[in-house]
Amino acid sequence: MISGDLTVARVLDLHPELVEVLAGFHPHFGQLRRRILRKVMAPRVTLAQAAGIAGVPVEELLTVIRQAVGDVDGPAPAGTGAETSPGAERAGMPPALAAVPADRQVHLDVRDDIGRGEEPFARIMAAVKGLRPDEVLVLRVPFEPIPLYDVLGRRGLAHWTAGRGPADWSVWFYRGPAATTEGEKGPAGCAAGPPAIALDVRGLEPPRPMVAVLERLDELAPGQELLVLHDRRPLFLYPQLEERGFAHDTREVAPGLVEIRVRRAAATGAGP
Amino acid sequence: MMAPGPGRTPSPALPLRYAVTAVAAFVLAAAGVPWLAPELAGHYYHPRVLALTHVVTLGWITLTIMGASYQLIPIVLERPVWSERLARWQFALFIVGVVGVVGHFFLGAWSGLVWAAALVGVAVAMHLVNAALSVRGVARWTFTARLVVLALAGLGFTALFGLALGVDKVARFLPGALLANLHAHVHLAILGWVLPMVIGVAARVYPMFLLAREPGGWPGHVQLLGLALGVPAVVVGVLAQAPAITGPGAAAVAAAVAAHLVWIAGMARSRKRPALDWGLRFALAGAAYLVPSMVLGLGFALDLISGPRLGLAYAVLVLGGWVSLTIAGMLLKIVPFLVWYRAYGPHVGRRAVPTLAQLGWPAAEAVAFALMVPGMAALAVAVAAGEAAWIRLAGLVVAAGAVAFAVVVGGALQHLVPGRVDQLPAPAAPGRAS
Repeated sequence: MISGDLTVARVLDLHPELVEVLAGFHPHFGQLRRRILRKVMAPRVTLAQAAGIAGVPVEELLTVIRQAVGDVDGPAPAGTGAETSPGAERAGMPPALAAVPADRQVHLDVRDDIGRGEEPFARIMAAVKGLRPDEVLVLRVPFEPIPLYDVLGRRGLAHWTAGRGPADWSVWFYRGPAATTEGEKGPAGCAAGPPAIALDVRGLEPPRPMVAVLERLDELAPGQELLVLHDRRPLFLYPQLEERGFAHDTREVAPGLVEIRVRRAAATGAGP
Repeated sequence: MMAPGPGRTPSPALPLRYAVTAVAAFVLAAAGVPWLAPELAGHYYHPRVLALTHVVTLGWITLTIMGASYQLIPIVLERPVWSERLARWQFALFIVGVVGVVGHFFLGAWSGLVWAAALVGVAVAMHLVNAALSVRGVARWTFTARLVVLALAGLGFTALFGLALGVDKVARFLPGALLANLHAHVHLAILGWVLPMVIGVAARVYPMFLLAREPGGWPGHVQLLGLALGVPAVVVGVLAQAPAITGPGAAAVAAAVAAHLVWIAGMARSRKRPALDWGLRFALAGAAYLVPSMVLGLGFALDLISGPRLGLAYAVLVLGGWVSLTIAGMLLKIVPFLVWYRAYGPHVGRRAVPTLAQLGWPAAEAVAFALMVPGMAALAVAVAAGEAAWIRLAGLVVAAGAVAFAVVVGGALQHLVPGRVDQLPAPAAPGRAS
């Protein structure tokens, strides 16, 4: 069964006649008739990505291809779990975000910058700076930009992420009630207190996890907890917390995932 | 008081004093290469070459690893250091011992060498006690924890062997050929102490800085088994001058090294960090030096190559290429972090503190990289050729790189100057420091 994660080159190796079928399906694919372009691009692009490039739903593209080669046993997944077409990309998107019209979407694609080894941070921050309150930033990157979530979260931007392919991610940054990671329910037994502030520092390079935690401490109300998700026990953080009068409990949830609960020591009357 | 503070990390001043002294030893060793070029063009069993070698192995490599252990044990093993005070005493004894060892080697004064080696042995014993008691309560015996224990055992045996060689200089008692004993000591140090420590720590630290997936799978088993079985076989085979034992042992170690490289390549490929900083480039360049080192090591083990010049080239590739570049890379991450933590950690969230990157000096790091990485290769070629003029030239390039590296470290240390914090901008708004 032909699926979205097959490269265009692989499909054309198996079924060379599909060049004309693809060209007939959408003018964009007509470029595959040029041998040089086919040699350069086809091995690097999956069908799901090709659909995205051409702006057509991947299922539609796959249906046409399967019909052309007699591969019509039934619907197949569009690719790996991380891949979606631009249309499917919006599945699961917050309704308010899905309703943002195109003229209020600021698109920024930094895949080529990163491919050239250039640091795209300045471009991203410039785009964020120029973002009007009712606009959203749609960022295209070759990997999930986890560190950016925290940076822009502190600037009041929430995010919604969709994996479009193995090296293609689309991240929507927007202002809204869920603009930070705050507001998650605290642990059982703490429901009566203020809601916990959740902070995910996994995937950040040291010492940024420590900085992220320490910068949030002043926001903690008495009795409120900061719930930190970390890759490991942050032994260099603990002395800083204690010196500032905060108590902490650490629990290893799974290998590579540690949960640290931080609260004002005065609120509990007990140290760590 | 020797008891640990639960959940505590040592003062950054502790690993920093090790690191700074080690960098000074590295500059001294690099500067010694052009000076000792005529000796390096001859046989390696020369008192001054042995002195230079011990500046590198004890003053630079071992001191760095010991100091880094006091920062990395809390991070990679999630255990507090057992006793900071013991570590401070160990540092003082070790420095005196290393100065004594190097000085007496240089002078060819063997009786003095014995007491100096004994001091080094005591300091190593203190480190082993401290590290063992720190590791004792480790919750999970991870790959890194096992490799660290393997390395500590290797350090203990290396120190004992070295002390025995020193005593043997004044009262000959060791059986076997002198050079065979020396080769076994060298391989015990490199393969039994340095190699497991580097690959164990790399498995935990490289993903942290490359922002890559933690490595796993079969390469881990190959590394553990390869080192656990291969290193004793190599050492015994070299001692007994039995290629039938050395060969399979070397093959097992080579398999471990290859598996380590597979992991590094995997982490580099899966990294989420698009651009590599100079510290990571140093570490990856060091890993690349493992390839020629491994080829030469296998060549010696299988009796395909021999001779003092190739032996010295092998030592340069291993100690100067792989170990030194890897350690330099790690120090470019460790020293700025320790300085930042000590100088600015207490002020995070209260003032607008510099980022860690702002403690570095990328231009000087690039110069150090451009000089040291090819310089080590040139030095290996020069000692293999046995040409004093080439050795002097390559040594000057390496020494210039070492000075640039030391300047970078010194630049980071400037942030510890009292009063710098007072110059920071006004306190940032709570939670909005960005």
